[in-house]
Formats: sequence, structure tokens, C-alpha cells
Amino acid sequence: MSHEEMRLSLGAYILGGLDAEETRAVEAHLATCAECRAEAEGFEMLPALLDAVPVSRAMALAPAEAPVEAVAPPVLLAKVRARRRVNRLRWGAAAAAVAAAALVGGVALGPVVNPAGPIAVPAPAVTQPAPVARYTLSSADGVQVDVALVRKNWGTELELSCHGMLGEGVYSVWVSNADGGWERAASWSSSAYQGTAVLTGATAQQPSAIRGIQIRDEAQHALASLTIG
Amino acid sequence: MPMDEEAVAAMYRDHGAALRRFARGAVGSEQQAEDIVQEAIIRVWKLAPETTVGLRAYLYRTVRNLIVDEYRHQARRPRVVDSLDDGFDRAYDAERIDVLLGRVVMEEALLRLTAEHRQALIALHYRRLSVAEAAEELGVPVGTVKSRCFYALKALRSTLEEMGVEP
Repeated sequence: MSHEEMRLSLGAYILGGLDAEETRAVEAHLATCAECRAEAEGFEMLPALLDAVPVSRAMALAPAEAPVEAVAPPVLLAKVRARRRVNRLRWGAAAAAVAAAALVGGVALGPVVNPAGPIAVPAPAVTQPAPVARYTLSSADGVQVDVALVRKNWGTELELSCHGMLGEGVYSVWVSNADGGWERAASWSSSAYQGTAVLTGATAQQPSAIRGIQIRDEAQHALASLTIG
Repeated sequence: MPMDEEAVAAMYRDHGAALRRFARGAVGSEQQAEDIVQEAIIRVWKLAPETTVGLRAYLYRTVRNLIVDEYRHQARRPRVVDSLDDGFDRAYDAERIDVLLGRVVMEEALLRLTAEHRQALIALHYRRLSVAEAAEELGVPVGTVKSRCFYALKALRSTLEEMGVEP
């Protein structure tokens, strides 16, 4: 392989995706090529950082998501107006110096990464309460999702059982509240299972506040929709 | 340039959703998370930074500190651990909050990559597929998988740098 081919193989090498023969070839090249060594060193920390994201979460990120833009609530802007007069007095060399020093710091991610994988969490000694409601959503194409809503002190747990997904793709379950806003409660990839997928979703809404449930495909098209109450 | 309502609105627009996602993984309710995010934005605005470079990292750090403070106030309450079931377990102390921060920052970095680059990282790193297996599954030549992995790591590195994280 040429130098350029070796260089382009470095990503797959760092990610552990090359076969034994290619791995040996890349390592032999690294021993003699300072440029590729420097490139590989730049990648070295990335796998450990990627491990901060659990596999199931990473898989759910596979479909492209549009960046979310949030609109500032009026109450926040009112606070700004109220404090602006006071704040003007605070501006000056000292405040600017503090801000500049703080901004240089950045987020020290290294020490917070947990390369050993998920942290052990003591199992909650709580008995599972019975679902408060059960629904079945089905589409014309034969997609069927059974949903059971379980009340939790933080909101609602959704027990989902999904069958008949069409081909490979990432599906998601959305719930809406009384204000008509939709929130993703769970997502899963249909390529990783055969037949039925059983998973758990979550929303901060109380079961009584949930007004609708939707199953969406990768392109965010609703496959099945249900209105409650 | 002095920061005013417009600057605060811009901060909220650009960073609000990501900060809320982080705070929500650590505190009990949407409202609490929202309050913490607003307080963090107000604090940063009060410092009147003259540049927005590294602002996200600083906002994350401020949200993190507010959450830690919150837990110190609640230290006498009994600890109950429940799972949010979206991959996040509730964070109850600074160490766990930092783990959560690392996770949220990395998720955001992954989301900023192109779908092709993200797909390559998911196939090789998370699903432990070989280049040959990934090529077959994605229906592209082996060389394409290799170059996507290379450029995905390049892009990830510069995304993290933009976000104020030193890989």
C-alpha cells in the first residue's frame, strides 16, 4: 500500500476495524513514517472519549437529526432587562479579565471519561407499579406497537413492544402534551433484532398529561398515531 | 459588544437545547432543568464575555456547577436512584454529573458530524464491525469505509476543539 493509502487506513486502524494482515502493514508503516505517527497520535484519545456514550445511545444517533433551536422564554429576557442596569456597572476591566480567563478553560473532558464502561448503579429497591394504561398503535403496513404507560415520580415510563417493522431503519416513539408539543420518548434500530423488539421509553410528562403517541420512521414520518382523551 | 437581550436570546437559541438535555439527565424535572439553564445563561451574560469562542464549554461548566450546588443543598435528602431509561441514569453527585457531562458533550459532537461519518464510527467503534463487514452492510467499497473512518476522526477532533474540549 502507498503512503496515502496507509494514511487513510489510520482511522480504521485506531477504531480496530482492520484485519490482522492490514494491522501489521499499518504498524510497519508507522514505524518508519513520522507524518503518519503524528496523525495516529492525534486520534489516540478519541476511542476512549467515544466510550463515554453508551452503545445504545450511539445507535440511536445514527439517523441525522436537525439541530434543535430553542426560543428564549420571555421570563428569561425580562430578567435580563431587569438586571441590565445593574450589570452595566459591573462591566469593566476586571469583569472582562474574569470572563476571558474562564473562557480559556474549556471543558476538561479527559478525567470525566469512564473508559471502563457504564458505571455500576445500585439497583433501585422499588417494585414495578402496574401500567395505568395500555394502547396498541398499528399502521396500514402492518407495523404494530403495544404501549403500556407506567406512572413514575419523574414522569412516565413507556413499555414498548414493537412488531412488523418495515426493513432496516431507526424508529422512534413520540408523546405529546396538552400544549401540543412532541417529545421523543424512545428510539430503536430495526436492524438489530428479528421479530419483536421490547424496549422502555421515558418522558417527564405524567401519564394524565400525555395527549398523543406517535411511531415515526427515520425520516420523521408518522407511521401510526394515537390521540388520547 | 455589550450583551443584551438579543445576545441572551442567541445564547438560548444556540445552546439552550443541548444544555437542557444535560441538565435534564441530572435533575428531577423539566422545570428544574430549565431553571438551571436560564440561571447559567444569566450568569454567563453577567460576565459579559467579549467573545463567543468556547462559550458552549463555559455554559456546560456553569450548568454543571449549578447542578452540583443543587445537590449539596439537597444532601440531607435520602438518595434514591432511578433510571431515566433513555441511557441516562440520574446523576447524584459531582463525579456522576461529570460522567454525564462527558456523555452529553460526546453525543453532541457525534450529532455535529455528517450522517456518513457518524455511521462509520457507529459501525466500527460501537458495533465493533470490521471494515469489510461495514462495507458490506453499508453497500460501499472497503476503501470508502476506510476514508470515512479517517475523515470522521478528523472531523470529530476538530468538532471537539470547536466545542472547547481538548481531546
